[in-house]
This record gives sequence, C-alpha cells and structure tokens, in this order.
Amino acid sequence: MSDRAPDQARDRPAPPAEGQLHTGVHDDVVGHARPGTEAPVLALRPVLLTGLFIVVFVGATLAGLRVYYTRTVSLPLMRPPRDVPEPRLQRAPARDLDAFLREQKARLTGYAWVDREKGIARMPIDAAMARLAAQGDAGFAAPLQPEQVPPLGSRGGAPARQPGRRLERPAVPRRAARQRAARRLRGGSLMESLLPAWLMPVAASVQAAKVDRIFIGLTIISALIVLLVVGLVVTFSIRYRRGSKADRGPLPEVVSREFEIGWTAATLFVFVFIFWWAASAEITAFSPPKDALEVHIVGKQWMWKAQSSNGAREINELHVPVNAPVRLVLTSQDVIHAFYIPALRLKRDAVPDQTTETWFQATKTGTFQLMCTEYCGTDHARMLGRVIVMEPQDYASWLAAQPEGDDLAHQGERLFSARGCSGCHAPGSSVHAPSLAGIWGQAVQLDGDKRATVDAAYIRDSILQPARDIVAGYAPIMPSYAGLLSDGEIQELTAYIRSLGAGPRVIRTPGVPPLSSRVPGNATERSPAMVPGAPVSDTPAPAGPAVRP
Amino acid sequence: MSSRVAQSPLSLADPDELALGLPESYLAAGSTLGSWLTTTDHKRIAILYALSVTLFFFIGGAAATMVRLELFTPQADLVGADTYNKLFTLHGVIMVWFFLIPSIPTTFGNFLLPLMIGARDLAFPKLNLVSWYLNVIGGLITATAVLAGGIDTGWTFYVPYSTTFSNTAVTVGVLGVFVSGFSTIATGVNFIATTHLLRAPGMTWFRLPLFVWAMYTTSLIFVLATPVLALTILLVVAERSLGLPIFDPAKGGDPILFQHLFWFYSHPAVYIMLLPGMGIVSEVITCFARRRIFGYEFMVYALVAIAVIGFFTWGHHMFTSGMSPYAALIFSFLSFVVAVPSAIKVFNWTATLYRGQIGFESPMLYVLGYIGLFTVGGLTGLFLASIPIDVHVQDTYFVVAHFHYIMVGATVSAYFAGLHFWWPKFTGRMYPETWAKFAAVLMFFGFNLTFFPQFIAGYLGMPRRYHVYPPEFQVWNVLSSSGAAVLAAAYLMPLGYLTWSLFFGARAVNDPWNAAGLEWRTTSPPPRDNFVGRPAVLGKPYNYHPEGAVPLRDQPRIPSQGSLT
Repeated sequence: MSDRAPDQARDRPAPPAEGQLHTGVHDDVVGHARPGTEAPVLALRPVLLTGLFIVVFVGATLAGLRVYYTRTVSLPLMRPPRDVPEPRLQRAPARDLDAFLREQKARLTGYAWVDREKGIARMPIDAAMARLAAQGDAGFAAPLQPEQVPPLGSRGGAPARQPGRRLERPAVPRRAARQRAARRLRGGSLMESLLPAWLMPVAASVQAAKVDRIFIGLTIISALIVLLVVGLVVTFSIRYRRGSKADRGPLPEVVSREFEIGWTAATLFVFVFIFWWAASAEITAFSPPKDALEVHIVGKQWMWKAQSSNGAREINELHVPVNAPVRLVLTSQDVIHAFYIPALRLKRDAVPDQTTETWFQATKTGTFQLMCTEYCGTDHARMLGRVIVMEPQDYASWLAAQPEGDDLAHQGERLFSARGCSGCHAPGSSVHAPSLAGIWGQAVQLDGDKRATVDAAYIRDSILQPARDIVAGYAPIMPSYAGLLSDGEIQELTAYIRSLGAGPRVIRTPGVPPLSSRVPGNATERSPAMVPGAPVSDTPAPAGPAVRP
Repeated sequence: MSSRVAQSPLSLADPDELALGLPESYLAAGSTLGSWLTTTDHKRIAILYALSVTLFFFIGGAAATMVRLELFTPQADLVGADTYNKLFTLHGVIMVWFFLIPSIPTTFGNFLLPLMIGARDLAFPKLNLVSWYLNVIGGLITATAVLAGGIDTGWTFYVPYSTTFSNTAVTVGVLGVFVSGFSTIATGVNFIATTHLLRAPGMTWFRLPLFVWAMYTTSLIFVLATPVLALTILLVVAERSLGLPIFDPAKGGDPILFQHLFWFYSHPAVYIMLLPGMGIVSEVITCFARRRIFGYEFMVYALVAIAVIGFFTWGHHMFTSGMSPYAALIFSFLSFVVAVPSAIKVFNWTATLYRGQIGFESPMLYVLGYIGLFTVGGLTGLFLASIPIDVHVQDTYFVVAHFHYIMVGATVSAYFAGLHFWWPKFTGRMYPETWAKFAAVLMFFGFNLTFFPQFIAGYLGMPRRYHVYPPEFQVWNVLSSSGAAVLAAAYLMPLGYLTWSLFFGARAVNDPWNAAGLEWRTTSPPPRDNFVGRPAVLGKPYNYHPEGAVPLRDQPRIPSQGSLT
C-alpha cells in the first residue's frame, strides 16, 4: 500500500482528442522518491545579490532625493519659531482702522494711473458716477476690446468719453477682479466642470487648488489603470472561457520577459512621475511667505484655542483675512489632536509639548468646518470649530472689536507683577536679584563655574527649582514656584522675558506697553519638531497642565 | 447521499475507505476533545486555528455591525460616545491581530505548507501547538479587557492618550496583543525552518509554489517586525502601569517616537495580511485558467521586494505628524516604489488568463473579485503616498476605505477563495457550488457598496472615528451601512453552507479541481503523514500544460459525486 503513488489514483482519463499532450502532465511533477536527488540548498548568490541590490537602491534613493531636495528647496526651510508673535497689525486698532479708512478714501477721491501702459486710470468716484449717469444706458455696455493706448502725457481719466476706454469703477471692478483671481487660484473650475456639486468638496485655498489638481490627475490615471486591468480580465474571461473556440496557440516569444520588463518599467515610470508631481507641489509650497499672519493654535480635550500675532484670541473659531497667507503654529495641552479644515485641504497634528507648523492662504470668503482628525478621546467627534475667512476690511473691523494686547507676552507681563516677580526682578527693587532685561539667549555665569544659556528650559528650571542654578554673585533666596504656576503661566512668563530682548536694553516699567516689542530669536533657533539635525538651542516650554489626570 | 455518510461527522472516514487499503485520514486520528487539544499534527492545528480565527472574525464583525448601525444617522442614537469608541477599538484590535494577521498563514499555511513542499509535518510540531495556545490565550486576555470595560484608544494605541489619559483597560488589552505576538513569531520561525529543511527531493527554491513563497516572505516579516511591536507594547505597559515616563511629553518623552515604533511594525503587518492572499490567488488562478503562472520568477521577486521595501515605508502614516519634510519625501518615494511589485503581480495574474481555459467555479469568482478590489485598493494607496493628498485625506474615511479594500476586500476574498478551493482537501467533502458562487458575487457587490462611498465621504472631509458627524455626509454613510448588511449576509452564508457540507456534502475525490500542486497528490483528507509514498518533484510548479504547449479543454471541475480516489 505504501509504495503506491497517489497520482495513479487520479479519477479522470485524459481527453482523447489531444491526449498525447495531456498525458503525464502531472506525472512530470511528482514521481517516486529518489533519495539524495537534491539536498535542500540555500541559494546563496540570489540572497547576496538581493542584499547588494537593496543597499545600492537605498543609497541611490537617498542620494538622488538629497540632490533633488537641495535644488528645489533653499535651506533652512523654517524661519526660527517665535514663541510670542510680534504684533504687526493693530497695535492700536482704532488708529489702524483710521489709517485704513484714510487710505481707502484717498483711493476713492483722487486721480491716479491704474495701468499706464493700457491707459487705465482712476478718477474720483463722484466724478465717475456723474459721467456714468451722463452716459445713460451706454455706460453699462461692455467695454470694447482692444483698449486704446492713450496719447502720451494725457491726463488720467480725461479721455473717458472715448468709447473703447475703460474706467475703473472703484470697489466693484476690484472685487470682480479678485473673484476672478480667486477662481483662477482655486483651480476648481476643472473639478466643477467634471463633478456635480454634491461630489465636490469646497475648495477655498491656494493649497486646495493644488491638491484637487493632483487628485483629479491621479484619479484619471487610476481610472485608466483600473479600466485596463478590468477590461483585460473581462475580455480574457469571455474570450478564453472554458471550451470557447478562441485560438490558443503557444504564446509568442515576445510575450514573456520583454513584456515583464516592459510593464515593470512603465509602472515604475508612471509611479515616479506621480511622485515627482506630488512632491514638487509639496516642496515648493512648504515654506510660508515671510509676511504671513502668525496664529498659534492650542488643542485640548475637546476644544481649539487660537491666538493671532495681532492679539486676537478665539475658542473653536478662527477669523482670517482672505488672500493673505496665514501661518499656523500648533501645539496641544494634553493628547495629540489634528487641526483639519477640509475646504482648505489643510491638516496638521497638534502634538503635546512640541510645535508643528503649517500655513494656508484662503481664496474664498465664508465659514468653513474645522475638525479634529486625530482620535483624542470621548468627544473627539465633537471637537469641531469653524474658520471664518473675511474680506480684509471686514477682518480689520472684526479685529478692531477684539480686546487689545492679549498676547502671551502681555499676559506674562501682568503675571510678572501679579505674582510678585517684579518685586525683586524689576529695576530699582530693593531686593538683590538679577535683572531679566536682555538676558534671553545670552550665556550667564552661574555659581560653581557653570554657565548656562537662557532659554525656555532654563527659565522654567529657574522658576520651579530656583536653588539649582544660582547666577554668580547672587544669594539663593528665591522661593520655588512649583505648584503655584501652571505650565501655561510659565509659558507666558517665558514669553514676557523673551520679549524683553536678547541684548542690553533698558528695562521697561511693567504695565507700560513697549515701544517696540521685537521678539528675538537668533538664526540657529528652529523648531525641534520640524528640522532634523539642526542645532536646537531652544526647547519649547511644556504647554500642558502641571498635573495630568 | 445518505444517512450513511452522515453517521460519522467528525472522523469523516468512510468505512469503505479502509477497505481500499488506504491510510485513514488525519481526521480519524481521534475525535475526543483531548485528542484535538494535544495534537501536533499540522493539519489538526490548522483546524484549531480555523475555529479560533472564525470566532474572532465574527466577534470583530459584530463590533463592525454596531459601528455601521450607529453611523446610519448623523446623531448618536444607538450607542454613546464612549461605547462607540470601544466598539471601533474592539473591531480594530480583534480584526487585525486575531483575524487578519493569523488568518491565512495559520490556517492555510499550517495545513498546506508541508503538503506543498512534500513534508510530513512542520519542522517544529510542538512549537506549532504552542503558538496556537499563545494565540488563543492572547485573544482571551484581550477579550477579558473587553469584559473589564473595554478599550477606547483605537487599535493604534497612540500615546499619550493610551498611556496617560485613557481610563479603560488598555494594559490588559495590549498584553493580549503582546502574547499573541509570540504566537506569530513562533509560526514564522516554524515556517522558515520548514521551508529550508523539509522540502521534498527535487523541490528547489524556484520550483516552490507561489503560496509557499508567500508564506516564506510573510514569515520573514513575522520574525523581523513582531519583536518591535512587542517592545513598543511593553513600553506602553511600563509607562501606564509602572509610571515610567517613556513617551510622556510632560516629562521630556516624545509621543512621535511611539508612532515610529508602532508603524515600523504595523506597516509591514499590512504586508503580513497581503502576501498570503497573493499566494492563494496565484494557486487558484492558475488552476482555473489551466495555465502556468505568467512570469514565475518575477512573481517570486515581487513577493520578496514587497516584503523588503515594505519595511521602509512606515513613515507615510505620519505625514501630518510633523515629520521632517525630507523624511516625508523619502517615505513618499518608497511608498510609490513598493507599489510597483504589487502592480507587476496584478499584470501577471491578468496575463495568466491569456489563452487559458478559464472556468468560473466559486474559488475563481473570489479571485477575480480579488483582482478588482486589490487594484482599487492599491491605486488609492498611491493617493495616500502623495503627500499633498495625504495631508487632506489622512485620518478620514478615504484611508478607512483604502485599507479595507486591501485588507478586507482583497485579503478576505483570497481567504474565501482558498477556503473553497482547499475545502475538499481539508474535509473530504464538496460544498454546494451554487450557493458558493452566489456568496462570492454577493460579497463583491456588498463590499463595493460598503466601502466605495467611503472614498467619497473621505475626500469630502469626513474624519474617521466620529460617532456623530456633519449631516452632509449622511448619504454616504447610509450607502455604506446598507452595503455592510449585504456584506454581513455574504460572510454568514459560507458559515452556513460549509457547515452543512461537513455533514451532508458529497465525498470529494483526491483532486477535484484537477490541480497541479503536490497537496493534491494525496488522499482527501490526507493521512496523518500526508503522503502515501515519498513524493519527489521533477518539474516546475503549475504544470497545467507542457512548456510551450497550449492548455486543453477539460470538463467542469465539480464532480457530481465522488469516488474516494
């Protein structure tokens, strides 16, 4: 029984017609044991070759990307982070609004060239309205093209009677132009034409337009590949179904290795092309413009807090001006959250005790959903908010209505006196304590031949464990504030000390706003979360509550 | 068919069988509970695994059903927030570690790997039994965590939520995963040793069936990646139970480090779930197209390439976590590269159909569905590898849909394909083919109805792990939940008719599909020692037609009734 080969027991004879081909097909595969025919061997050469290939491949990948990267991006990518945003707008909201209105008024009441080359000029709106009224219905006809070039030296706005000349109507045409520009920027037009509205997420930022373009491109490529595969499978399934009359001659010689190599190369090429496409969009848009409005976002279970460099503080809301770059600096007070605005195609994790950054430029006004997308506990699904993108003038008026001077440094300044720090550390104090003006980023000489650099960690240590590092020449008399100050308050104090500057400077009297609260930060400072390998001279102060549940 | 057949449901040994002088089947080796719980027969252990894996599949599926029911409306009407969080965590943990990862390797791998290479058993039969116990003990520990109040961290256990903030039974839950990790490591070692040492004479590396290659590469990932998970879990336990500050940012730790460690395991784990399915597809598609596999060497290299490159792409789970943009570029590039061997496999399967004699029995239907679902799942992976798109759809339903297409659509289709294909070999019985075809088609449509709407909802911005959601997403969730009902029916049907076939199914012949593999060159079900003689291998696998010749027409491959041999 035991030496009976199992395949002899096959239940079916070969089909008679082409029996000679079929007979013994399986018998090729299995035969009786011939002990010692072949010992199991480790195929050493393929293993070594594979290893070598991996090393070469990984090396070449790293090197190639490095070259590509340095050519495309100018390092350093990040501007040094600023714990405390510098107020740029709205130091005095009422005054700024006045200036803004003055500027607008000047535009409405004066003459100027809009485009001298094309002969477009601006004129006072009263005069323009009078002329328009005088033209009657003709004034509403579309401007003729092409526009005539005005004679050299003619006064702006004078040849308004010539029918081909277009007058810039204040306010309205500019808005139209902005909308046109916004539509261009959104790039949603392609998507709008392809997809019905309910399939199309609102696209309201420069990034959104890019993401949608790549997404549509990738969708088209994918659809083609799916069609190809499904088409082939279905075609073959029908044509070569069992017993069909289709020709089944031997495979042509070319259909083997060449095909294999061909479609491997083609696939690789397509995939690398998509990578290059997506990666260049990512790289070129990585660094925010220099004049971006800086907004600090803090996530906590289950709400969002936002604070702009201009002092506006909000909860679960973020007001931003349209068509202006906005840089977000995110952190979290407890667990990891993610700040997600689908309409802006923007997402970035908020990680506790680290800062992450991203930026966007909205191109559409409106109210957009803000959501948390990193699972953060019970009410994760209710950690919602909204982002309100406003026209600049609306934003200015909204901003003017916000309480003034509420940024971190100002709060720290108030704490500085409220918690009694100023009793010793203010100039002119009777207690012998080191002045804090201008110490940020400087090296200080400590007792016991130690030196330390003043950074967030140093200040935190000095507040919580004052006896550890004593500045040379001073007595260890400061009490510990551990348990008396929350992490947030320490952060505010740090921000205040930082705002006092990095060099010798006359200390301000607490309570009086600084003339210039330039926020320091030297070139080597980077967010440790963002740039690998960069020297980190500053550890962000922990933001969470002092006691964790 | 007869009451006579139904008399011996467990042994499945027909008295006439013995009269033919054949050895009795492995099922006849003992029918007591003790004989099953102490067996070292790889085939019986595979059956044990099949039972535990099926149990866990339906536990995880029940949780998924609750989740989909809750998402039918935008409000919270079925369960509250905390319960919902525990449900999707349960679904994820059970499905990933107690169904998807062990599913194909421990059932089909255990049963077929020795058969396919002509061995009598695995290299370490006792270790094999130990790994089943570890798997079950791990599963029971995790189930205890559920009874003790559940876990609400999500299957990813992200710190600091899991270490500092969650008040649920995280420690117990992750310890279950920790224990079951040793089960997979042991299985991996066992398979590697078996493949190296126990191949039959003539079974050279490039004569191995692709399923064996898939098991081999999967085992490599088991052995190399799982220890990292064990370490990571221990660190979480240490932080949570012993108060050692490891990831806690308040004490200088780095929560992102956890994510790196976790995904260094969990991304290769995706390929643990994927590669075995690819192996099954290669076996089934050749059999039902009556062709040799197209480009055997490329298929082998593709498996190896996926296993190797898969280790270097974990960072694409963290593009929005605040990773260096240079690192993000590298991970993005490697994620595109790892898609190339997957694409090659799809093309080769398609080319295998060319000039075949294609039959559409139920395993083939599952496999054709697999190719479609895997193609969609793989291509949406390219979307996620593109950094700008990933920034938008990360942690939305787009990601959920993508990985379900790969891990559920593709892998579970392959699982069912294999189950039907080798069912006659496992049990010696045929299943009702019409029901099976119906289930296969139903599964394909139910799956697409469930998960395709999630791509759209995700791109529109619906975040995952939300139990209440903005009402504009409701239409997609209603579609998805309806599909889930269809899918549940399609998953329950095989449970019914396969169980029925155990008792009333027709006797299977040794090789009902007229397939080429070594596992068909023995009785159905095989004897304890697998082969009657000592098999030796003389040629390449998938020898459905002589090299250079054409495949022949043959009759439909469901015998109406079988003789035993």
